[in-house]
Amino acid sequence: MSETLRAATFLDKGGTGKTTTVAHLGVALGELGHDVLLIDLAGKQGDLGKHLGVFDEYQDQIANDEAWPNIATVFDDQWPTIAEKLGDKATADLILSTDEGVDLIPAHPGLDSLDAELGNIDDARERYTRLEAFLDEYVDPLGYDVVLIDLPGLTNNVSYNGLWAAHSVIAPVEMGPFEAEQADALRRDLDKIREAFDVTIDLSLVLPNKVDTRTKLAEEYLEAFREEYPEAMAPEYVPYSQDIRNATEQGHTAFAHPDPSATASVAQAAYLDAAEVLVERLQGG
Amino acid sequence: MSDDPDLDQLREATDHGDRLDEAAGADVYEDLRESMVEYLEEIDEGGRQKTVSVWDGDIAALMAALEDHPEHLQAYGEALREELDLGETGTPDRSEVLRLALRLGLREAAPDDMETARKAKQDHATRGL
Repeated sequence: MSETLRAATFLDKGGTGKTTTVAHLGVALGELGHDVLLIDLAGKQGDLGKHLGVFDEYQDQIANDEAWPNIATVFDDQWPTIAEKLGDKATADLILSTDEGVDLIPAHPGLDSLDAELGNIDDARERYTRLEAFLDEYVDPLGYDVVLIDLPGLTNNVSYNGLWAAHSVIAPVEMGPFEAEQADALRRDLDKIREAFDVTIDLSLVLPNKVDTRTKLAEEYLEAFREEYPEAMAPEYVPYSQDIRNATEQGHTAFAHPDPSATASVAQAAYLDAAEVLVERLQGG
Repeated sequence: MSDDPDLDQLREATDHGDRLDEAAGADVYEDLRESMVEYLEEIDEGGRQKTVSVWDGDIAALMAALEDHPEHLQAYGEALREELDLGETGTPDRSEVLRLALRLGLREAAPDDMETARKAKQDHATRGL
């Protein structure tokens, strides 16, 4: 691929599996041969780093005062000056390699005050385009095939930056009534952004996850989502899998499991299928 | 820290911790400000001296020598006024030179504390308006 594709996971609701989705879709894209960069904007707790086994390494860097510049710095209006002074290593130093074949720009505690700082920028377009400017100018030249961005589970200045920069949303959903409402709200939000700023942000992938098909209700919600989002639905749902939970706690994804259970294998296949259609959709296919 | 002072300044300006840390930092200055406003009130009411004394033989000797050589005292005074952007004119005396030197030193070493002191003075001056 010649152009870097981008997508952001977003749903204005916590606990829907956004971070797990970014980690697994990212590794799945890597398995399919793509060069992948993940960016964690989801909050100072740094969960994506935990999924990919680099959390402790980065916490050490933070404790030793070695984590500057960081992901919060790239939103600062001084970033171009900093990048110019530091040269190529300005962006390279933000990126950690992981054992699962994907690279990561991890979350930093500075994200906590970032939303308020962005709120001080009067011009809305300027406020919401800081990340896009960073990706355009500093990340795209690095030649990644795909950049996936994990966003906070709420609508704020940081998540708007992610949506604006990606132009494309992955919405991980659980099978319940609140998710359906939130997915509707997301679609309304995307329409509002389109009207207000003349920027199109597509809903590229609705990925049902943690699905327990032993319950009839889950099947019904699944069917309702398929009807509601026929163009954005992932080809397969990700089943609930204890292996995924365990893998997360051990600092890796289910792809790194040496002996995956049946549900973990189904989940892996679902992520690989989702990754494949995601790339097709991001390429306009 | 790097070898580049500009980069160090950029880092100081753009390196943010989380909100809890920053709120704790803000509280430290808030306490200092309140404390200074209280002492300014005490001074106004005559309950506290306006003088500051220091024990320092070298400085005492320098000040005595400067008083013997007023042209040097004046040069010190004018240099300090310039550094502090003060438009004052007239011949600076020993007291003014010491006052301005203290002020400049504190501002250079602890700009945040001095900014807090400035706010405290502002609060005190506008109290009751």
